[in-house]
Amino acid sequence: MNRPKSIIDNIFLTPFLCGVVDVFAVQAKVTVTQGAPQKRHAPDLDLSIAGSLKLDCEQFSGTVNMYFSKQVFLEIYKGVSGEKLENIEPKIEDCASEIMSMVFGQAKTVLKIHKYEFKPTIAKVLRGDEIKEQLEKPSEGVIVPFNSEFGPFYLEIIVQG
Amino acid sequence: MFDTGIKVLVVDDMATMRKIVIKSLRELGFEEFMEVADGGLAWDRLKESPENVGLIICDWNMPNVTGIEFLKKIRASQDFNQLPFILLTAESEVSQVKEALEAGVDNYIVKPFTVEILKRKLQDTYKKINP
Repeated sequence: MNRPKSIIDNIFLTPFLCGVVDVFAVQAKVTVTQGAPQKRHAPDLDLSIAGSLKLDCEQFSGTVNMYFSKQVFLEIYKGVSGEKLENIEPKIEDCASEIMSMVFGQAKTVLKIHKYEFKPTIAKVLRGDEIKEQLEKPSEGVIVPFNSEFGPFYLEIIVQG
Repeated sequence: MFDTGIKVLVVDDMATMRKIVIKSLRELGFEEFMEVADGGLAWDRLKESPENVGLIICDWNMPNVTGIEFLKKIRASQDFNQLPFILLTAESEVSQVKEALEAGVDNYIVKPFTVEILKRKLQDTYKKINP
């Protein structure tokens, strides 16, 4: 039997957006505000690091990513760990995947109510060319800007095509 | 209340989350920690210094030996089966919580969490162990 086409509607997207706001408020003590969801495009910003996670269930197949500039990432890392650093050192990169996991955990709990049963998955970190490759994938999806006192960052959901 | 003089074994494959847990525990007055990246390494460290650890805080979703597998090993062990064990999870699904309780977890914390949540979970855990 063919899988139904993956759809990003409000029911699917909202739990991720709420998850972002909640995770940043609780774990990093950073207030963030959500911008309008847009059709996928590469943001006009130097993005240094991303957390990335495969989404796989009967109704949806794709990827969710969170992209950060160096400055925003370092401030968020300071918020979660209390440690102030000048550069994104390898030992702190997993903060990006941990944030992605927490956002997904929150979204997953809500989406389960709507019968989405995601397969287990582990978030990974994207750096350098991996970010560029991901942003340039010619797939359908949405990108949502978020604003913080340190600058913007992005949540992107891509439909596997 | 809880004894902050004990050593806490913090198990998580993510260095950042280990840092968050240890930072939160420090804010509650704990001073001694041992940190490892998965359940297999945690088991090895426990066997090396069995008398030192008084509490385990462990992530659920880890490569190699997961948190629930490590918990089951602990509860099946004669030496460590009384150790308080708190699981960290990014999900709060009923089925997961049920599985953890059946495996003998003392408490669980859903990420993200605040120091206050950790404090409350520790208080609940020790109240259950020493009513």
